[in-house]
Amino acid sequence: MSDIDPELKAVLAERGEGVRVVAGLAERAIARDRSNRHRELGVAALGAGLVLAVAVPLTWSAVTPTGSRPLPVGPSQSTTAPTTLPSPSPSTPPATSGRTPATPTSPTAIPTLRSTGAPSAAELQPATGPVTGTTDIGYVADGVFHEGKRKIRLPAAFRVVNTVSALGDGLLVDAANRVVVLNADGQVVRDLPALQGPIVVAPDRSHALVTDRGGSLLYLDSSGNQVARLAAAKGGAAGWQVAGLAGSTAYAVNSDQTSSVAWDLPSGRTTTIRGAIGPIDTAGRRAIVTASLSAGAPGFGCQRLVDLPSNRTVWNLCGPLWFTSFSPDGTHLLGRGFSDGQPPELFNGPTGKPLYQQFVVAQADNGRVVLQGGGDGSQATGSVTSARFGTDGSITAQVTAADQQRGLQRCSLEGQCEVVGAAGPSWQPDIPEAAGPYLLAEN
Amino acid sequence: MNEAERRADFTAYVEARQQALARLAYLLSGDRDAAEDLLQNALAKVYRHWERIQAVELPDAYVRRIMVNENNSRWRRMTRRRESPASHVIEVLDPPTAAHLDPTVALDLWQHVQTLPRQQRAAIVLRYYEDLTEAQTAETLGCSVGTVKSHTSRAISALRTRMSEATA
Repeated sequence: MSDIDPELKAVLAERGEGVRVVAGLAERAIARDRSNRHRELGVAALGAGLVLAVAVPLTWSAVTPTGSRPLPVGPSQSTTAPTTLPSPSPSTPPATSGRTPATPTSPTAIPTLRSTGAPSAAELQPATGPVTGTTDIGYVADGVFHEGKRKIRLPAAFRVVNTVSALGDGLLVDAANRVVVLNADGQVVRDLPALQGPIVVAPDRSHALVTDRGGSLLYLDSSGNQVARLAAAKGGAAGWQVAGLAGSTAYAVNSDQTSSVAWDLPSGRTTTIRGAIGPIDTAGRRAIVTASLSAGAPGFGCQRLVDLPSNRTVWNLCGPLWFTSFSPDGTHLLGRGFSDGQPPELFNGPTGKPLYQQFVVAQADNGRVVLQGGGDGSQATGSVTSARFGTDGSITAQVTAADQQRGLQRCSLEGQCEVVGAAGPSWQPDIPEAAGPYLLAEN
Repeated sequence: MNEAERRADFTAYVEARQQALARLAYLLSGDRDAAEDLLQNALAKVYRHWERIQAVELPDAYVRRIMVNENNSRWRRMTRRRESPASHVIEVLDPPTAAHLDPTVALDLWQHVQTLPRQQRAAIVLRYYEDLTEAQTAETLGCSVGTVKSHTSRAISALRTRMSEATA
């Protein structure tokens, strides 16, 4: 033992002695877990594996064949063969079935894009002041669901909810310990079993796709009745995580995040897809497929845009971008410029600073970021805590305002915003990243 | 285990261990706000996986590992909210200096500890405060025993040098 050891032990002991817990730590931790779940649900299926990952050093050689840092240009060419995916067209169920990964088709050049942060994108410009506009995006505020002029008051037990989705004429509400279907008057019409992970509702709101606690996929009608079920065991792992609904095809990611399934609902046939699928556009024509969510594994840090009917990879984009949804017309992708748990080597540029801000919108055709905002997510104002595309192509976002409050803003792709919901306090003011006063609907 | 049971079981664990965990968080981070953030985020992850943790692992070892990983995560540090919470969960009082320690020396040494690289600081906190073995420290840090020896040796050497400079 060195001469400094006893002193060091004594100093650490005395410094530790001065620390006291003065509030309910368990309650705060539970509330923070709830808050984290809100944020992760925003990242949807793709994020689940990575969000909890411990940062692992990653060299660019893991994502570039040459081992060199990405050049500030794109696209470059690679000759990777695309993975065959099932046709998701409502009228064309997948041609193959079973769990064997689909075989590659003949090699085709796939544009490989590198996220470089350039060219610079438009910046989100949150507005201040009173409410000056409206949004057609559904949201819950003060226990009331708003969607345009429609309002549904939630039962008192569901004033604080994890997710809300428009289903049929009513709502599918996931609260802390209960998942229910409400009718248009806000009355509970059905209690569902406990669920986990994201919830997806079909564009026409006729059906929902959920995962039960056992990992099985449940396809529900608008009243919450189970129409079909895909057992967790089919995934070969702990179960499924909902990715999307396109026509009569349901998509889900295996819990090990290495493969996905296309489940043809009329026939019950399943087709395995390599990689984690999602998001999927409303028309079921395009999807993002991530090869690997494990740092260091081949393909980590890259996402492919796949044209589903032709099984063709449109581009392979490598970098920190993390797409969570398509615009209703499929032309843009909304996502994040980084995600919790990503290795810094992935999201930092050559200068050591993040390539992108917290919130990004990219063109689907080429992966180019056209709008970003929220900084690194840590500033007192301007952070984007949740966002959704509207049918008109605008974006409705919850943005932090002064005094730890959050307001609702509707913004154009050029970044111009107007206030559509006044700033208010978070439901849990003791936790800075807690959910704000507005909960955006999932659909 | 239903939700209510899970919550009650987790709460009981935290209430039993919260003082020790808060002290570890503070020693790892050296800052009250950072310690609160570290502690709450680590416990939130523990709560998420509580059924598995309480069933198959020693909770303390798991929580220590999460806290060290969180504290060492460059990403986590960068994205930590700088907003202040409305109220605090821990308070840090100026401790009475141990009888056999010179108060000035004790303060200098604590300040030097805070300047150590995070891995080195974590290694000495785990070895000298938590009294973990080198093997346990290696498991917590996710590195080899040799790396723990190296971190500890370098940390002690750096502290000795800085203390010598301070008293010169």
